[in-house]
Amino acid sequence: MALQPNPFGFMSERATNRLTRRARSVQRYWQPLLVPDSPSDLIQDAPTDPAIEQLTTLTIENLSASHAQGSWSLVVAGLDSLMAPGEENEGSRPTEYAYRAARSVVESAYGRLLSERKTSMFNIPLPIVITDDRGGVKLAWHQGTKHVRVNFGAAPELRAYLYFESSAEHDIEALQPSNLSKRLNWLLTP
Amino acid sequence: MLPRALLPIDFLLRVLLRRGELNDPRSAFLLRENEKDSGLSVNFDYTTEECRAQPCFSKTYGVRSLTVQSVLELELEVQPDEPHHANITGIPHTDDDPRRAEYLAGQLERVSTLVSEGLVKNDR
Repeated sequence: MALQPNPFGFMSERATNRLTRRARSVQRYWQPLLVPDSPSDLIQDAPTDPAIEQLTTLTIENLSASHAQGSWSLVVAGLDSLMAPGEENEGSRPTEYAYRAARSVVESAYGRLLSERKTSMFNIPLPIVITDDRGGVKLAWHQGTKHVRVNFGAAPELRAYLYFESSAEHDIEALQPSNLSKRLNWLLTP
Repeated sequence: MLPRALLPIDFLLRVLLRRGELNDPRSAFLLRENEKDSGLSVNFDYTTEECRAQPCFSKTYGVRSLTVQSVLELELEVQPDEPHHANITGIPHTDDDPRRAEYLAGQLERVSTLVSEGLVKNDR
């Protein structure tokens, strides 16, 4: 696993490690609740872990910036958790091809979205990250009645696609960073 | 023994075979690799416990329930082939038509309910 930048750069290494361990234990079930809707929610729902309690002393600006990075780091953690050895992933681990494709495309899409929106990304809902029965990787984002789903095939010859759906339309697009970035932006548009 | 004819009010059970099908319910209604030719596999006239205890499953993560009527309203068919088993036909595999496969999976998710949840392992 590649080293990731510290998403909580304003915290001590020890506190960061504790927070990361906590996030990884919770993300096994990969609930969107991991990412609150706004920094104020994060403050109101502050857990009792002393490492996380430090967040309550931070400014809104710090929270926004850190949450943007934290959001991506949680997506990466979700992808990495699929590769982890253990009984939980037995029979449903993704192929190396699908994992690498998902990391590459989603990271690039988030990067584009961040630069294009010129804001933090704390409004992007955390995706559900799962595998299919052939070792492909799927990510699904939901916001209200809108859905964006991406499917990375287990092998190059298997189909990869981006699917989007709202109450008014549904279709597929080529699974490219530019399209995913565009659709995540669409997801956030009221 | 021939399967009985299904009525619109009958309940169908879809067993969740991967944790992902529990976390992302829509994916429970995408055809699996071994369902490409037969259709979406469902059970009927079983309790959820009986359904999950079938020896063909080594472990299950849950069960979703839906009525035959709700499937028919999506212009799909339910074809029983065994006393407790049927296939929902008319759903394409994502390899062939991902647009329709994803849409129908979403519709089936909406009309279904999670009726059993949690890992169950069967001794075989």
